[in-house]
Amino acid sequence: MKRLLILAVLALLAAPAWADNEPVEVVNYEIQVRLDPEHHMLHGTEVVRWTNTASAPTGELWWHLYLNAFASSETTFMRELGRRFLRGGPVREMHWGWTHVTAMSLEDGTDLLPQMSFERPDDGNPDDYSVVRVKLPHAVPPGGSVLVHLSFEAQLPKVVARSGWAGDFHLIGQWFPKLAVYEDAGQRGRPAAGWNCHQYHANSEFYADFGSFTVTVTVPEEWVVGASGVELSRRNVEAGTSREIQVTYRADRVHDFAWMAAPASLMDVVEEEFDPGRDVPAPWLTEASRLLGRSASELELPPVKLRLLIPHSQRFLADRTLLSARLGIAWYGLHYGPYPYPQLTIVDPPITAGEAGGMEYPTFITTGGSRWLRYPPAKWVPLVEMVTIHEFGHQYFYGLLASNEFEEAWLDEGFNSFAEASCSAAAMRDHLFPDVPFYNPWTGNRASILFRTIPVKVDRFAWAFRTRNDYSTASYPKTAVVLKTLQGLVGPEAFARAMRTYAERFRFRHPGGDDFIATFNEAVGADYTWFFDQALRGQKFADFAVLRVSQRKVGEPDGYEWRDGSWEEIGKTEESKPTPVAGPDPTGGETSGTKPAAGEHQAEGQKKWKVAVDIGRRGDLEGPVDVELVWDDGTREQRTWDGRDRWVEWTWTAPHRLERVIVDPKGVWAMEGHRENNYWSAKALASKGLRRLWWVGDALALVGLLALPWS
Amino acid sequence: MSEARNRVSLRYGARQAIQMWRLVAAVWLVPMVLGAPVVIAARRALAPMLGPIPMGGAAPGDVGLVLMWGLSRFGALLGIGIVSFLAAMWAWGVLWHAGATGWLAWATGRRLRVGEVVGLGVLRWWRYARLALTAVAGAVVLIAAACLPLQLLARAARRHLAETRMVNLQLASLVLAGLLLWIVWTATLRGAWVLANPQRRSAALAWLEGLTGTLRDPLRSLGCVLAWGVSVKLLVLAPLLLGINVRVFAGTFLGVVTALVLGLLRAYCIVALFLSFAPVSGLIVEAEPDEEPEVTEEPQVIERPEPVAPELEDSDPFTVPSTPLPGNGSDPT
Repeated sequence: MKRLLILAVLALLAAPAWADNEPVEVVNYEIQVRLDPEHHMLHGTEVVRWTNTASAPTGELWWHLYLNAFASSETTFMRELGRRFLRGGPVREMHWGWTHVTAMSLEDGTDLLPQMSFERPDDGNPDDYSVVRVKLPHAVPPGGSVLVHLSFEAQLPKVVARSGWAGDFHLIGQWFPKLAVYEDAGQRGRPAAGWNCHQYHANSEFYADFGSFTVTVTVPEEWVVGASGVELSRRNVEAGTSREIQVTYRADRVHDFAWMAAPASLMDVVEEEFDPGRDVPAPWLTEASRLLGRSASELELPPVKLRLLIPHSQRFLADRTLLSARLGIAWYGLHYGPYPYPQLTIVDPPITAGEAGGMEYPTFITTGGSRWLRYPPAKWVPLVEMVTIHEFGHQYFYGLLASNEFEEAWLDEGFNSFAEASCSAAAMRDHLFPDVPFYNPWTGNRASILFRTIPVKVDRFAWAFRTRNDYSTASYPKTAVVLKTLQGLVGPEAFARAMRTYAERFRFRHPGGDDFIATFNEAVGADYTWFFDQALRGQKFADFAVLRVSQRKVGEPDGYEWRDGSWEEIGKTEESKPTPVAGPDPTGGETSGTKPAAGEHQAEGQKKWKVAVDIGRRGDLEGPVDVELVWDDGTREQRTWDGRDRWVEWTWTAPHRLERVIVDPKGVWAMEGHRENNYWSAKALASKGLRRLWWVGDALALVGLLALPWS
Repeated sequence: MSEARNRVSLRYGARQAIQMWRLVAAVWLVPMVLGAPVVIAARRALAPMLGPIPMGGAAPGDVGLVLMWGLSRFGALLGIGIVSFLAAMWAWGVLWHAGATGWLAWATGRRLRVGEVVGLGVLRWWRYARLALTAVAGAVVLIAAACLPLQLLARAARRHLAETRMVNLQLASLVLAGLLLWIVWTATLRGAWVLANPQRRSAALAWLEGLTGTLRDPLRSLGCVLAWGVSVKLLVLAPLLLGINVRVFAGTFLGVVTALVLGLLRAYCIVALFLSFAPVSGLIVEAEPDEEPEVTEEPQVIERPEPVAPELEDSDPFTVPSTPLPGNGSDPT
């Protein structure tokens, strides 16, 4: 009993460690790799120790060979890519890439190459070689581990989909044979333990286990290298007639490793530090403290070393890039927990390597810039800032909360889009980086919902969307506005605390959509499954509207009224009783409005108006919505409609008329794109609408000037 | 009579534009009339959507979304309207330029009538349209010849990851294109006045003469276009910038009046720019700076002999007789 009590106390003491989840190290990589810059090839050896953390044994290992997706035009990736690269350029002048595992054996020397087979679990495409299965001579039991030695060669493609070379610049991502994830029963809703290993699709990204990496890269002597993790050592080596450098990096508690190499003549290296005392804006700390209900000391952030590799020609962007990284570290750290690594490496790829830009790997991100950003008007646009913050944000959504990007891309892209828009909006509000007049970081997200003719469902496998545009809309802006709507529905404080709970609970874990929903509901203390089912798992869209407003004068009643057992002519009695107002059951589509208090005498000659307002749903998403009613005597009334039925009618007999009706006055329903039907006004529309359009004639004159300078 | 000077004259243009204030008024009003259908249609389409939204009381981002939605619904029609407006503006531009040159060449001391200018413009329209098209062709050829090599070099620089060189070449290409457009515009203005001489029929040759004239007198020619042209650009932008930055100008009576006044000034600058090139035709005498010009309402006119013969080369009733005009350096007899 005493022992049980001690264990219980220890368990309770361990509970706050939610905030300090440590990863279970599943896999350990030791990689030696040499870059041949002339042929853009890698020659490497890899020692991988894999531990079975599931509750069931496995007799095979599944690997990703991502570079094989670029082996030919017939791979699954290239077939799905179509005619445009991910960053929009036309697909042409392809230089293909591949990975060739030349040797694979166990620690005892057992050759595994004969046991290797290519698999196509998603589409059966025989020309796709991005997934490999290796059968082991003995199953690895739960808790057991296996050590594999392998050698490989990789041909880097000319930069496509985040990886490859452009001239002498090499961005080396998804370059090594990488183990897939062996999921346990119950993990992310799995019924039984098994390997989760998908082919590389044009729409998908990645999924891997946490572990550690020790990587030694060998490049020509006069080159610079940037990589995940921290540099442990470097030394010069002679290789025949050429001289090279070997740089060793170590990255712990990560699930991927990427690096870049380029001549020092091409890239500048700038190093700075994120200093929490200097770089956390005071208003952000105050706001986060209030939202999360935590003191400033509880939200303390550690320093982080920043290492930026940027082309000479874009050196002027270094300050902006590093400032943005510091703002990102501050924002995400305050809201989702401290960045747990000692260093962040940022690479700004040169021109022609744009396909490698805008990407994230643990502790290593790529941004994107241009020398044109030195000159107006491009200079005034906060593009560098927003990309840097977004890519840094992926250190959390995907990096620390290592969701499966193949199956639930929205969990990282959408969540990060929400966080990045929130951070950018705060930065612009506080003038921490350039703000563009009339620009709201949320407008673009909301507009992408507005113009969709077919609603898109968020929760799909990445390659199961009808088009790439559908994938992008669902994973990025739609999820972002869904979260924004949720923030409005539950309130900013409850929302912030729920998100923080999720971020802490699943740090260094593989959360799924169900994990997030369950955590969110628990944290806010209410069940919002009805919302998630419609917004994320369904294809419903929100569109609330003012359907009708009618106001007519109530005439004096005429005729007879039944009173005290007999018919009496109306108006002939000494007392006048209040006129009853229609208003049965509020949930039947009709609710009652204000009415005079019983017994109150209506002033002679006081006008009465019969007012009816119909609020409805043009969209099929059901949910509560606020409605603001403004009367012409200045009084304002706020009501909430539960949105379950298709419409509701509110009626009043009132001494005043309605002046204005606004559905969702605070913009809680960010996922509602059609806002033109949310407003009704009794007053003449012409002047108000025209006043807003004062600029039309001047804009036309400007168009004339640009097209016909002499006009 | 003072000696004629065939040089571009800012001062002449400024003065003459005041004297031809009726033309300035037409240049001010006609674009508004031409643009009115587009403006009215756009406002009628969008105003009902925006009207119910309270000023300063909309949910964040709603006005932008509503505008986007409205523009997307009517975008195609608006696009057609804008293209039609531009085509009409081009035609009007050719018309009044043609009419102004004809009127000044023909002026016999009469008060300017817009109707006469328009009539002259209609008769000469095709000639001046050819001039405008020649200018477009000239611009394309010149810009392509000058900028294509730079673009090719920029592409080569990009392949070698030499971004600074690439951007510098692209910038140089942009600047050069702008300079060439400026020269082409100036050449066209000069060419328009060369074409004022009824003996001159070839628009292409007139334009080429305008180009050579510009290159012979670049500072004066380009400077004049720069001065008036920049003024025009600023006056177009001013109402927008004022409305955006100063609330009291956004959609108020003051804003409308200000826009109208700035528009009138813009029209004045446009006409003055064109008239600044009138002296190059040799048809106009400009007073020397040290002479006190007579202050008259009517433009200064040249004494011309009565038309000699009714034999005209074409049916144009306004064709000036083929006798060379004084001021061109040739013996009038």
